[in-house]
Amino acid sequence: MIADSGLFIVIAGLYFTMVVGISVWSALHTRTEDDFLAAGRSIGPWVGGGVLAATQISAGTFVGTLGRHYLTGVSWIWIWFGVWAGWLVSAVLVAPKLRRFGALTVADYVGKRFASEGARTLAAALIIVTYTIYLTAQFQAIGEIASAVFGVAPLVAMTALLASTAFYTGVGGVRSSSYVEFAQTIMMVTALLFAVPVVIAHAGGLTALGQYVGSIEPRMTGWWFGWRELVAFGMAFGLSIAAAPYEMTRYYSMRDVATVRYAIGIALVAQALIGSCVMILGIGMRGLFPYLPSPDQASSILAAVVMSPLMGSLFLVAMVSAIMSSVNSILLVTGGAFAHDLYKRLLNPGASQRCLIWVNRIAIVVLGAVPFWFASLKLSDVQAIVVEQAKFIASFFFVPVVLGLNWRRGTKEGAIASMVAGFLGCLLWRFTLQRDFAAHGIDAVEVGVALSAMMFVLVSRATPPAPEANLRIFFD
Amino acid sequence: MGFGASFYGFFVAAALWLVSYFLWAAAAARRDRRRSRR
Repeated sequence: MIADSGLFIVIAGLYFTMVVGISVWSALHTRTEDDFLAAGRSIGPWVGGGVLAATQISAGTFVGTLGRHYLTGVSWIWIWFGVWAGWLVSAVLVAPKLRRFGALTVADYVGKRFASEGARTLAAALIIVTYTIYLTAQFQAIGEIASAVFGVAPLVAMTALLASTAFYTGVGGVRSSSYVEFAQTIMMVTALLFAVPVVIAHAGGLTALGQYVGSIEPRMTGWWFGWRELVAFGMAFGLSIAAAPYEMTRYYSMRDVATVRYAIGIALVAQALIGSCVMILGIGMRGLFPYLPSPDQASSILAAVVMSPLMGSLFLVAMVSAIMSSVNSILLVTGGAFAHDLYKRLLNPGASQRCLIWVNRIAIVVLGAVPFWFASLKLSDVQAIVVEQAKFIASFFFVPVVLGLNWRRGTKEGAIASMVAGFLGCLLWRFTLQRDFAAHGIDAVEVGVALSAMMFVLVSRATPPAPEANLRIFFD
Repeated sequence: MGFGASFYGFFVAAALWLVSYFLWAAAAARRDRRRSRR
């Protein structure tokens, strides 16, 4: 078994040594909350691009997306254009203004733009709730990998994941996570690029693979999903990426606006490589193992059975690092939302820098443990959970971020109404009319964003504008 | 039947998207530099 092999232990040992080394080095450079949450605004385009890619690429990609391609074939790949449209909106309409503002958390933006502590608190609370759902997917994925490859109980794997990730997140903050995530992106791309020729060779070549999976189910090589479904899924990801708190906080840590734009481009290249490889691997696994009990197991079995011990070990470590990078980014956002936006503002306004760093660290561990219970329930497959959280983020946050940064007339009442309407609209549609999607073709994310936009405009029009001093920060 | 337009078309579209993005990013950087010199 690959998990017992000396090679895996050596590669995993090297990886964790690197993580610990970077964490300790970063901790020595972290003295203030600004260092902890924004790396002293020192991150360049290559590291920044690696960070944005690693943050986006998660268990959802290695386990969920690979499983989705295993099950449905090629057409899921087209939702990447929804993701990239979201990045484009972010690069054009969001990132430049946010980077010039240069705050520490995303709720900072909400509080300052709309001159409202209420809006800031609501944003922080909704981010914590939604990202707890996202963390559930990551923990569920590590549970799948642990039981399929290592024969370890999911709870043990989840605890190990939280302990190791909370360590490097809590010790070095954004600085350590940035350099670790850059290395993780290189590992992920390398492992996937090496894996593709191995799987294609096992399947007898690309043409033979296409012919075989096409014979199992013709839609595998054509269009399993119709354009309406692809647009709905793509929109969910795109709208959530355009205003994703875990990406937005990373813009704050980069040197300047041009750095952010190039970093997004480098992240797109990494995502294109990773997305393409994951598609081919998913379809390749269907060709090699047509009837796995769960599509989420395809990636683990690929690493454990199909690949050589060296390649399999590298692939497994890359999978774990994909999960770690997303857990890390989510914990930085939720920990920061609690410490900076709730604790410092509501509970202890006079807190020292040292105290805030420690509250960040404790929040990271506590908020990281909450999703254990949800993950143990296995409410859905990994990819479905990732899609659902994306829909909620888009529903309550896309409008206050994208419209709020580009429409001066938006007010605090409009922002609060927009977040509440978007969240509740998405929630209600998801648990009622969503099940008839095939009949009406309207997804919960479309309802959430439409309601959010409508409330933002109507309520803002009826209430006094934000103070000029606050608007001047975001509008020339 | 092997892979078709849904497979190969993705690679072509993705390459075009990436090239267009970097051309825009370079133009935006030039525009920012011109503005900061004024």
